Amino acid sequence: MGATGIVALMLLSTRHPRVFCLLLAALAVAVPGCRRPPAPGPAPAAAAAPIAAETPPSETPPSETPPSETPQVTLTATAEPAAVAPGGTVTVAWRLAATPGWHFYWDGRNDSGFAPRQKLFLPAGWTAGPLQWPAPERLVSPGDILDHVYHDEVVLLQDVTAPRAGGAPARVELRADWQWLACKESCVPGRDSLAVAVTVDAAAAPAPPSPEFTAVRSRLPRPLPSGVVTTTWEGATLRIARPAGTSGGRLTFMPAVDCAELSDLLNDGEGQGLALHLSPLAGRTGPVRGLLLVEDPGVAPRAYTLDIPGIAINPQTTGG
Amino acid sequence: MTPTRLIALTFALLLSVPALAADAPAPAKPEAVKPAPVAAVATLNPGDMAPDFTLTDIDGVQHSLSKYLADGKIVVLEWFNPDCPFIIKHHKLNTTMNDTFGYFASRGVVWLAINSSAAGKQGAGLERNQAAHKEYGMIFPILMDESGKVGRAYGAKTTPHMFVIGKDGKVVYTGAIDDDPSPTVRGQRNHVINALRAALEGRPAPEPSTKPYGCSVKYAN
Repeated sequence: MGATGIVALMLLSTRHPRVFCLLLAALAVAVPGCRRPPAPGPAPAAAAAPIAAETPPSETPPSETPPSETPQVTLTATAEPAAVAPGGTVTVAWRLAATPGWHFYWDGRNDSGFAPRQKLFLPAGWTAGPLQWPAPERLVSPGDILDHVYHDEVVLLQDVTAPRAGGAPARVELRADWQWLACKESCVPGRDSLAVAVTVDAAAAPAPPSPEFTAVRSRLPRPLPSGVVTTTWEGATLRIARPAGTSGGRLTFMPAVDCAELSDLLNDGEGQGLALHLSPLAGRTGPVRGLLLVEDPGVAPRAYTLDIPGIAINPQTTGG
Repeated sequence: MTPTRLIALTFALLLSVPALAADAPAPAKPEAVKPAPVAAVATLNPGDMAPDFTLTDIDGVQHSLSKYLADGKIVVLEWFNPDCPFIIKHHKLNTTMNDTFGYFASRGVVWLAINSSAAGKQGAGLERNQAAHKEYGMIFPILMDESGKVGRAYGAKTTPHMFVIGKDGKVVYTGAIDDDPSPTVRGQRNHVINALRAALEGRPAPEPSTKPYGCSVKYAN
């Protein structure tokens, strides 16, 4: 076996210099150009028995692992209007922008990553609404890893309301700590703290939203109006289709964290009509919660929130 | 190179020969060696039999699941990539993995880190993993799965993605190490501790499945 093995290794090593070098190292032969690994061990892919054996050894020496890149991420915030009367509401736009090519994560269901996390510090009496997340994009990575991400930047809106009782005009700071993960292929975490100043003034006049805020708002998901799609349960499968007579563009479903488990989101989540397969649990299935992105030719993509209540299902029909 | 290491290396290379011989290109048809077709990605659920594997660690030692099970061990698998922030969180900013294993190491539990980073991708390569093993002071081995075959067979999505395999070879826990998916903050509840305690007491894990979190496993394209 030993002799056959050496021959086989020699044959292989003609195509894979690293194996050749390892072989020479094993035979205690020193050859110029064969850099000896500092802590010798067989090439992992080459030495592993059955399960890894079908893959040829790597052509890339381990020392050539690319140096990790670091993105430039900037966190900015603006508030509109800049001045409010007591009891009034301002909207804060928190913007995370990264070096082009990097992405941030949606706060719905993802296989990997980490959605930006906020810790908000408000002056006494102030209250804040939830962060409003725009529709993300699907990102499929090798290994059937499905994420929903924002490429290059994301702007999260948040309504913050001043206390009703107010005295003399005052300037307050709305502060937040942020933690995020920016990824390209590799991921780099980051954190920052940022404050945006707002004036509370009984004399503050209502101000119309700026075009920038209007544009950001227009990209937020809206409640699903009737007539855009039809949704029907077939056993444990939720079918989402365009109504008859509608020209069918592309539909994409992106589940929220509290959506029932989908058995094959990778394949079910995108198409002209969707069939979302759910795993029934204790005679019930659903709810189906998340975003539905509707893309028709010649029209800007529209994002809707989908909230289909769970239903009791007949165990005989769960195969669907 | 110490003599022991040299012998180990030679021996490991010779051991690997049947597998290599099967894949070695015939001289007349050098194009015979092709990358393995991309296997379908499995989803492994609690109660499923864990797929057997044999992988080589960064010191050239082979580890096979079936052998550990035959020895009556409970096996923990941790998908690993030394440069993933979530691995750094649990191996450097905190010592979650070492601490957790340390608590169970003398109680019939084996812990294996598995790195499925493809060649040229983040965290790949023997040297990088040898250095990280030293830097993180890891008290368990790193197994190299450069082809991603074991990772795909387990449906490993993230680093870390944890699997606890009972003595009967069935998955008793799959998911996250703890309950805080942040890249820096350690969680309050360690799911693997709970699963291991239950397994040692012959109980089902209180939460047999949680959502894993972390970087995507850097499989080949």
